[in-house]
Amino acid sequence: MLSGDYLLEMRDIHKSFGAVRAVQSVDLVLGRGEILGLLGDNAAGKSTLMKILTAFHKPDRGKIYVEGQEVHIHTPGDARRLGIEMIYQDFSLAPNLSIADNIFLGRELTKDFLGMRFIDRKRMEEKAKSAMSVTNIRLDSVKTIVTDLSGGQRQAVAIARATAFDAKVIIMDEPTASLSVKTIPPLLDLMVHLRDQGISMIFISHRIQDVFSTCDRVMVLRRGKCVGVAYTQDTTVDEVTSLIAGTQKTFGKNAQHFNPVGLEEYDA
Amino acid sequence: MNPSGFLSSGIQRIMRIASITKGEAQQDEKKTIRMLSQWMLPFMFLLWIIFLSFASPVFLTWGNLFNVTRQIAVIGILSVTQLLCILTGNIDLSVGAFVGLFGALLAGLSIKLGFPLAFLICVLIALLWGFTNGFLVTRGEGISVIVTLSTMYVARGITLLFTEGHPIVNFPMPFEFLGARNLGPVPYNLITFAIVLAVVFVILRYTPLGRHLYAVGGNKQAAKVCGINTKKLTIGIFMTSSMLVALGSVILLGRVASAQPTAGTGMEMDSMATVLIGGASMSGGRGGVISTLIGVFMLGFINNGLNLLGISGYWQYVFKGSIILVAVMVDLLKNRK
Repeated sequence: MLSGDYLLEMRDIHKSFGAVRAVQSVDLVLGRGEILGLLGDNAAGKSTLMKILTAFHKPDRGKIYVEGQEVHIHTPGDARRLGIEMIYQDFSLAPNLSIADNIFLGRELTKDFLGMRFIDRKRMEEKAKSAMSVTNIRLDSVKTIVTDLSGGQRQAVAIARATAFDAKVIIMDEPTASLSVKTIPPLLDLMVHLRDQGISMIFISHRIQDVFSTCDRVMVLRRGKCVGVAYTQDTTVDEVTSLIAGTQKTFGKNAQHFNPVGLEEYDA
Repeated sequence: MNPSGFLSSGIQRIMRIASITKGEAQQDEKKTIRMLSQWMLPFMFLLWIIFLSFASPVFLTWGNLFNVTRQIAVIGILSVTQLLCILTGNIDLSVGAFVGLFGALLAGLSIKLGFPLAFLICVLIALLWGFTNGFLVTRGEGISVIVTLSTMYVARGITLLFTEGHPIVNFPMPFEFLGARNLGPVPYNLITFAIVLAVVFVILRYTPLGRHLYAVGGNKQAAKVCGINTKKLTIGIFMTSSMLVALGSVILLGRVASAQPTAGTGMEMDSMATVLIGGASMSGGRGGVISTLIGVFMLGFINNGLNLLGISGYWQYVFKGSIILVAVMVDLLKNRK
């Protein structure tokens, strides 16, 4: 069960785009080694909330803590340095670069030569190989250009990139959206496998069944507000669905012992 | 075989590749097409060389080959700057006009202020110019064409105002040797070009910066999420570009010993042609120094060949335009999934 020692906390986050209040006073906490499902309709604010974590949006108000320390994330690079990695629907890979180059994009391994920094291809390729082995996906070579990979393979590269640098939190924004059906179960297995190794994840998906089969907790957003957080074991797909749709206002009695209101004791 | 026959056979070849593309989208097929389209233009170039060496007795003489290489330095340097812009998914149409502007300012100010001060001022202007281009380009997506087309007009206008339409001559020019002298048998302009090529080659291939340039061109969003400051990078590219264009302008000043108000006209198109013939992608992320060098030689030999064959200079426009179109079409084939 979740203790007071959170890996990541977002407190009282607000974000508006003009008159549209995309995120209103949302609290999110993530424990160590847990997968939190983030659910909600389109435009519920899920992606906005996550993009605040990776500095694509600047919050109007609110604080972010990583391992209890308040942090200010101004650039995507800041997020990476804090161990926050995000995996996008489109995997966000450079299609014209090799697997190894993609994994090390923005933090290339270098060697000095005549006082200048040059890419250390050999070391990058070796490390990329070991990073890819985490994903259990067969590949001929890490020199392969990403254009030549299938969707599932690309996803594996994105995950390898996220895990290669001691990520603490991996945010998965609809990672299954552009995958074929048969490649989804291996991905879910991989998520559980990574969780067991101590990596925390936030999982955004429209496939509620996937969320229930992997996540420890679920959080439901509706129109920019958090309408409830519950352990998956205490709730049902039906209940979550009606929360997303707005036909039910809060989680039922079983799930009541964990919701944003219950966080006050930690704040004090 | 005449040149237009050569072009139409090239088009036929492309059509054939297009019909292959329609078939299947297998990965091996994709690789084959990439290989084919990559080597098609160099292959056509080889045919053109073979054809020329038969059609013109002068073509394969040292004098002629040397002449061609001597002429490519300026356009070569401009092509390298264009390559950097195109790699990151932008384009710099102001390079030609800025060759004129920089030359006119340097020549004119040198007469009034002496060379050192004039040079310093002009270099600062070039940096500011590059920064302005880059800054404006990063304000929106895909606006580099219209931004640099506009700054091209501004540059050309200022050049004509400054020179009042007349060439500037008799100015002090310590760097004249860059355009006009040889080191042993090798012209300094070729040496300069070779150094520029080598530096850019090493940067693109062996440094993190090079990887970042390719990444920005391939998928800007991906580059951003990997912590690459794409705006800073783009502004940097345009500033580098304006400095290299300034270098090209100095070489040109040395070669012709006068600052022409129309200097550099059409060079934006030539630099674009060489980069695209070399197999770079207009959408960014693909291209390289070696293939650009091939493109530079191709354009040089196409111009040279048309001259030797006694074909009107006006045809050269038609050819250059068509070649760019062909290169763009080949690029589209490559991108087809």
